[in-house]
Amino acid sequence: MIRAMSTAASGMKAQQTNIDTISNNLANVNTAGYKKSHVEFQDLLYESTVPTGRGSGLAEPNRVEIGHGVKMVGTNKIFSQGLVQQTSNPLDMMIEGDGFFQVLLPDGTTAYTRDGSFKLDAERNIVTTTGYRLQPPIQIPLDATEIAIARDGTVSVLLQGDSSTVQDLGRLEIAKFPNVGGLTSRGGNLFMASPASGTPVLGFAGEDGLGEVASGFLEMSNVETVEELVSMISAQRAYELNSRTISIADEMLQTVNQMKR
Amino acid sequence: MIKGLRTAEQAMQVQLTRTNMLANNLANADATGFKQMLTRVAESEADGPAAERAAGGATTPLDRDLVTAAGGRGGLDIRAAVDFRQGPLRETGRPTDVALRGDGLFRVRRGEEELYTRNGAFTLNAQRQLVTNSGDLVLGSGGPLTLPDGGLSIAEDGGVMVDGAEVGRLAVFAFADAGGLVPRGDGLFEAPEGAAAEAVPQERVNVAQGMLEGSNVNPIDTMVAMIAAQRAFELESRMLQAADRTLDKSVNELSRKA
Repeated sequence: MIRAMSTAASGMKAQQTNIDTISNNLANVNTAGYKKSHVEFQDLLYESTVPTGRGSGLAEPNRVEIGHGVKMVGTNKIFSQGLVQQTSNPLDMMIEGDGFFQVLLPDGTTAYTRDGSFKLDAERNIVTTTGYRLQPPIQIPLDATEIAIARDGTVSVLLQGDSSTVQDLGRLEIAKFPNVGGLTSRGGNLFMASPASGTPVLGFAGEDGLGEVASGFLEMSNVETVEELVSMISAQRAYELNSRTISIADEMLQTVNQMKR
Repeated sequence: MIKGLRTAEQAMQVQLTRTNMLANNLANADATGFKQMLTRVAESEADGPAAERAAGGATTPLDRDLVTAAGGRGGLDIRAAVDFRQGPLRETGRPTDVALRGDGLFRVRRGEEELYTRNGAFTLNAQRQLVTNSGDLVLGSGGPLTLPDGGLSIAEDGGVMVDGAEVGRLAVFAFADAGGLVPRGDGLFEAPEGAAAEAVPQERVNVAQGMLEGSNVNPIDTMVAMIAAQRAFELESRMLQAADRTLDKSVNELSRKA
């Protein structure tokens, strides 16, 4: 009937998704390794119309392009460095720069994370907070008294009764992607490789452009509250504006209805 | 006499079209690189009052009045053009995001077609080619841009560098009559037949990396225009009613007295 109504409805739907994304960012403001998302919008298809009632014989084609509204094209993850929190726990690790820790999922696939809050499980493997093992696996001996993780990712321990010999247990491998923007979020601070992200390139910390590991620190979320709140307010106002469009279209239809009494 | 009805109806159609376009502008107030459509209601040149006079003119005084009020003998046209004024830039920090300052559009390839866009929210596909959010290839001066692994930097003149080595150059094109470009959705524009794309000279290209150009819709202006269109629509509906009543009088009452 009147296209403005569905056009405005598409605008309201888009802003709703925008609000959903912003509130997810805000909810994760204190999540270690969380990367904020941003919604991208694009215009929908256009319809080429010629105003009705036009006679023929016009020299120039008088075409008018009317759009059908807006759509969401995607949410872009922004992989900027998050805030740093010092914890002094040697198993808390942060990657300073590019790269992801690799984590083995129970189904045998590998997930990638920036959340470096690692723990030990019952078998003294280094695991994530949810219990997934760090890859390549590193086991801390039972009689280790002190754990140290160097900036190049080498894990070493001091054993009980021998405070002079440092024992190397292995070196962390870090994964880098051709296109980090193409990673899919799995929840639980984990990302999965996808055709868009490309296959991961493995390497050691501090080499080949990969970031270095800082032990005793955690990378927090990169969400900035003020920025998100401003976006939220503007999304709400845009939502309101579109709802005004609907009432204007409604009133125009009312005018038509009242024309003949 | 019946023409009066017709004139008012056309005027209402024009306001309806205008409202639809304004609603689309408003819905896209947050779309990256969106350019609003401007509308102008004008008297049609083909059969405006001048043409009317030449052809013998309007008949009754009332008919003439209605014609004048509607701006011609029903010859109302709505004309639309894309408004390529600069949108505000916002910082994203993503290395593959670029914004254009000043004239010009990026050229992209969708299938066999070459289209143009101001939306610089680019990303990489699995083959490490620079693509738009909808997956269309972004074209450099030498075709699609494939980026090797490494630190990406895009210079102000559109030069694409990876780890300091230039791997290509973003192609930026301008049109003599940009307003005549045809919007295709997804932030893309098509050059109408006969419109020649001219490459913007390198020294005039102004690309900002890590930024995106927002929509150039001004919500206040758009809302005001929409309210004005609504009121004009109402007014014209009154005109139609007046013409209807006059018609009613002349047909039903005058004939009875005669």
